[in-house]
Amino acid sequence: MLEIANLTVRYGAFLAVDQLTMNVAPGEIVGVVGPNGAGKSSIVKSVGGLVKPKAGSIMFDGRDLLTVPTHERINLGLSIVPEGRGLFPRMSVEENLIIGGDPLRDKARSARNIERCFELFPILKERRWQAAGTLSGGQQQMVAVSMGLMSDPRLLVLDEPSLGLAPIVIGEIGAALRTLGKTGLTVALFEQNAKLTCNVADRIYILASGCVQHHDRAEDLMKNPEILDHLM
Amino acid sequence: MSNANWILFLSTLSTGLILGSIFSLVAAGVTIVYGSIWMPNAANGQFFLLAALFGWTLTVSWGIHPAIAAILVIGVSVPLSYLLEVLLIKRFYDVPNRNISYFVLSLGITQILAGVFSLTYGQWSDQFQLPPLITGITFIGPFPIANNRLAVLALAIAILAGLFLLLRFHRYGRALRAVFQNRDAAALRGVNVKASYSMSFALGNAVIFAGGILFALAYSFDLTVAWTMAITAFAIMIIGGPGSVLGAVVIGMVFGFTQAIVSVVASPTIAAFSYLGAMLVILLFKPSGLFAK
Amino acid sequence: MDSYWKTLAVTATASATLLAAANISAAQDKPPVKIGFVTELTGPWSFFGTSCVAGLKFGEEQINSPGKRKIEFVITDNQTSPAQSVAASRSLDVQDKVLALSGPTSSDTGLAVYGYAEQNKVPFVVPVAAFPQLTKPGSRYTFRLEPNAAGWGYAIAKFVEKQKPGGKIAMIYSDYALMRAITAGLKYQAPLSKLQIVADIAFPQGSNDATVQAAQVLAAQPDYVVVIGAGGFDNTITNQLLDIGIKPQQLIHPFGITTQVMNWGKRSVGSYYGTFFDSNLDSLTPEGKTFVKDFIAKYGRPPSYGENFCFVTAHVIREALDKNPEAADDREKFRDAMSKLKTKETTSDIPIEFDKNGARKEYIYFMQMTDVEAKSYKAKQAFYAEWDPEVIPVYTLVK
Ligand SMILES: Nc1ncnc2c1ncn2[C@@H]1O[C@H](COP(=O)(O)OP(=O)(O)OP(=O)(O)O)[C@@H](O)[C@H]1O
Ligand SMILES: [Mg+2]
Repeated sequence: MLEIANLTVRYGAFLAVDQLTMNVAPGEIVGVVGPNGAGKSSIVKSVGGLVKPKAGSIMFDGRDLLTVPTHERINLGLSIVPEGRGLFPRMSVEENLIIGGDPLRDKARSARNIERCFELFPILKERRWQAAGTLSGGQQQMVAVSMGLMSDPRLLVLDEPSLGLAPIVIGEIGAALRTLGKTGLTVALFEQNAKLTCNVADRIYILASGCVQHHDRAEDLMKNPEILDHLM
Repeated sequence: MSNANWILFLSTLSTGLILGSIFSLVAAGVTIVYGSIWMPNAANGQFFLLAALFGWTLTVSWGIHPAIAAILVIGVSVPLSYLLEVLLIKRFYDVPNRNISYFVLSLGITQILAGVFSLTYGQWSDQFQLPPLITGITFIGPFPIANNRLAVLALAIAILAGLFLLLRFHRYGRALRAVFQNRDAAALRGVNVKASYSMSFALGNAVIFAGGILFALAYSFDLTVAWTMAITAFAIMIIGGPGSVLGAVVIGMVFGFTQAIVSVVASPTIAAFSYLGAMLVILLFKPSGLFAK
Repeated sequence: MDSYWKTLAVTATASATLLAAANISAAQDKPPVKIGFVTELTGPWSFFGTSCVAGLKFGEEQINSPGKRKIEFVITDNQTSPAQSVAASRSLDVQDKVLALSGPTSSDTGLAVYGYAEQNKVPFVVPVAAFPQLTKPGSRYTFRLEPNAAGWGYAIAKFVEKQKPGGKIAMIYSDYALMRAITAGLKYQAPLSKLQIVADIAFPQGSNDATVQAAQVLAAQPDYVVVIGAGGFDNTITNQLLDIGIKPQQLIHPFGITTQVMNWGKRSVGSYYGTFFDSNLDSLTPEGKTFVKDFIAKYGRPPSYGENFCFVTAHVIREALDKNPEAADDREKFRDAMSKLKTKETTSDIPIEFDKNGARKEYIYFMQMTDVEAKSYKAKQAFYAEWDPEVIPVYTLVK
């Protein structure tokens, strides 16, 4: 579904992503794990269109994403929850969700999706009218994931949803992602938190200094935790 | 209350409302443009005056009914904004510190417009007055108020309400606010950020034009109104929190009422200073403005 | 005997003619006399500067009749800025070597040129600027055509005293140097004229609304309201006073120029305004009537007192030079010529002569508006007064 080949991202002279190749097949949950500065966000931003790669290609459903303007990518069924959650802090939870559903151009469907998000994260229903910026970190992440889901995407890309959250909240997010995976949604999870990723993903890429160091099925990786430890 | 006190009270109220809503419109226009494209538009006063002068030409020189003229003036702001955006504003969209470039640019626009006005309108008259929207006087209790003044007030409040509804409930308005709050996230959610820039620029200017033409319908004016309005609008934007339309509207109203009330209890001169005093005090305690993020 | 005298007479006539002819050719051969005209062509006061130049141009055409030494006005923009006025004066003085300065129509720029002129001994003819200090005691080189503003305040008191002895006056005005001078004169003279000031409301620059203050004025129950707003605000105050129920007959504008009167409009018919020249005056001279007619033909509106003073300025300078040809190349002599000049306004026959400070014997008309049309208006003279510039202590009243 998502095929990234030889992706190179540079910031000035600094090479953040180096000839990276990876792919995500339909129905899969793929994890990309890497330490600080490994290049995860650079990849996500390239997919989203916020950063222009120096070289390489990104195909989505056989379409060259690099020719699609940022704001049109969501209409292809590609939804990105960026690092730092990408919320609109002074808007209410509900308004954030409405914006998430706007690409559908269908108010009824958007309203249904809001209800589904509330089923996934019941706390959000209570906080419906609260400004998103005043929610706790975990609640904000729930809004971020929900907003990503509102447009009924076929591929959901998450950049570090665990950032700054307590383990118990991370567990909740993980459970939600697994639920989503079961509905057939394709997910690409970029994470620093290996435990969360292993619990959720089918396949994992291990990333360091902009290169894929290792690539394996999650079950196999869990059998050799030392590889993980070593690589991180 | 005695009749004299009623008259004083109602005249204060009407003054506060009219001035407040016109200040609010202009400041909202300025803050919308600042919030979206980071342009501190110092030329807002000249835009305001342009609208007023254009209204004067339409009504006094060409004999068009003031109501139609008002619609034309607000309407013409859209192509004008578009032209200005294509010629100048657009070029800076990817400049990192563009707010300072924009500020300098808008000072340049101010000089040019002020020069053009003084060489054209400035030589025709020292004061300009539009015919009233409607004539006659209505008594509210003992207080006589010109119907024209009531009409201007109603229009100003209607436009403010329309602006509020647009920003709050319409998908375009929501997209504008999304861009104010988080550009990248808005782009990822399908908002065409550059298109929203164009729209905010046009919307902001349309609102300033609306303020200008309503002011011209309510009051006589001269070319100096551009300067006082520019300073007032900036002060309101800064106190309200740059980028906050709610802040602009609330503080605009506060300014209008300050002018009305302080000038009764103290004097008009003290009222003029009370703005700046209030601004300094507020910024002392809340440097980012009252309604800032 | 007879033939002797005849011959003598013929010879005398012939030689006089010859002499005159020689004079003419001498006058024509000499370079033009330059007058530096520093005025407001741009900036907030540009309307008054350009109107003044319009009036001046009519005068310049008339004074340069063939056979007379040409007088040339070097017109320079001061951008309505005192600093720019000084810079322009210096350049006219040093580079253009003008005989005299003239031009400013605002008191701020006028005072700036005044300072330069007095210090550098350049004669300065002020057409329209009313701040008293322009002719303060000790002024030597400055001559002013417009009566000083504190005097207008005196005249308002005289007018009200005549209309309604013991009357009550409310003042509502923009807080500018000019307005302060007018109200200072009025406040000084009011008790002497047994009048009572019942409201005194000043607005700062940039005020927009006067509804509340109009209500205060109404509550003070005045017989007359003296109203002066700056620029566009003038009309706003006037309308808001009328809105709240003040009658036009109660309004006195210390001054009214054409655009103002037309903007006050039909609803102000019945109100009074002060002026020093008005196209509706009965006492206009034939030259005055021609000036009005030509001005309307060219600018689509009648001239105001400002245009008139600038028009008259050209004539006054001509007359001073005609009476003292040697003054054309000598500033001191020109100064003396101005100082002892006794003439009349070309347009209205009102006498012009200057006291030791360069202030003129002062006067004002109060006109009452009788009708307003699209591009003209009608008014009739309601009051006329003349007074000595120091009838009230103008120079100590207004610093
Ligand atoms: N705008 C930028 N300008 C310069 N360098 C940048 C920029 N953005 C990222 N980098 C650098 O590129 C490298 C990769 O950054 P990136 O954000 O992709 O890492 P990451 O894997 O997401 O890290 P983290 O887990 O901390 O979010 C880092 O060394 C970072 O300093
Ligand atoms: Mg990152």
